[in-house]
Amino acid sequence: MFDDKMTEAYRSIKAPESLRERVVSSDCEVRPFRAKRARYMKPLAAAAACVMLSAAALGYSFAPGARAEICGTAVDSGKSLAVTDGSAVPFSLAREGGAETVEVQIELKLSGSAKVSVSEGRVFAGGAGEELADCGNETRIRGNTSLCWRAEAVPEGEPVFLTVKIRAKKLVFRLEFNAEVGEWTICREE
Amino acid sequence: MAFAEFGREALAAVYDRYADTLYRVAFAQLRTREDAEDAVHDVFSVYIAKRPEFSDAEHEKAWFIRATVNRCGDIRRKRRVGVLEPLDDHAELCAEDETEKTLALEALFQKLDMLPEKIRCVIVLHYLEEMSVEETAKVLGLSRSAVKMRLLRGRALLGRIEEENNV
Repeated sequence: MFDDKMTEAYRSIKAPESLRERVVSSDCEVRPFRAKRARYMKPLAAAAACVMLSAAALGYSFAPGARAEICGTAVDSGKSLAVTDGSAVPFSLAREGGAETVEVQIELKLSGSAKVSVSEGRVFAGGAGEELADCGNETRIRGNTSLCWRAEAVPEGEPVFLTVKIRAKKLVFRLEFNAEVGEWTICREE
Repeated sequence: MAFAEFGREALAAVYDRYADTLYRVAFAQLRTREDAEDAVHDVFSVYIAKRPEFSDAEHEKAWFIRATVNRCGDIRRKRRVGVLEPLDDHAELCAEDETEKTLALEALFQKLDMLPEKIRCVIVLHYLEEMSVEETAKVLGLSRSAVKMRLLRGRALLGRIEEENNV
């Protein structure tokens, strides 16, 4: 694929000294990654769909058979989604060439704190907020919280998960692309 | 200020450990020196601000590379560049008398430009940064099978392009 000359040339690339000075000196200011990130909705052409979900978590405990009401509207498709817990929520987004990104907005109603993590992608605060977590680490949230989960290049047929841990309990959302029908589905796993 | 507490020496040590790798990865994604520098700088800014804790050196490396890849994605989206512009910044990576190296880089980046962003990233980490499939998967937050699939697609794409060029 790449011959030795290419590889050697690549490996010989060094970060410039000016960058070192910039980082290590007192000029290295702390800038938030997303200081001004506008709330955005990607059009279908840009291959993303936002699905508003609302999950009610009752305090710190889930009564047996407790339900998370998931309802919302798939933007762009204009389709209303109404689902009971455990059922898959399909939202219609054809996975076209280059359609690699999907966004899910989740509203969590918590009476305390919880930890959020994802198996794939990144989680942001609301639709315009800072990045809270990416794959491999957790973030703590408190109270009613809006989250935006952005997953990129999700392999077909491989589900990805967003987990909300409230003490010993877990609320898990499963996001998956069904290539046979060309639809994304999201559901809460029991 | 977090930076003062952090300690300049400690920061310099971490910088020296990862800067070249991060800069290369960023440059392969963004293709301009300025954006690559900004990406690396921003990653270290977050590192200073958040001071993440790492379980080991591998975890630390994965964090830095993933943060760089993510930051490159942010910068690219801001630039709204759907395809890579034919930039000549790679020529400035070499000294004036390093013609052979410049040509090799030009050929390398021409190949990388042919690849979709997600596949390019995996190809760069595995073949150029010499990371294993497992390391690449950890860094990018992908499954091993997803990494392998992207490597396969990348090789197929590059193979097809080479065939077409040889015809």
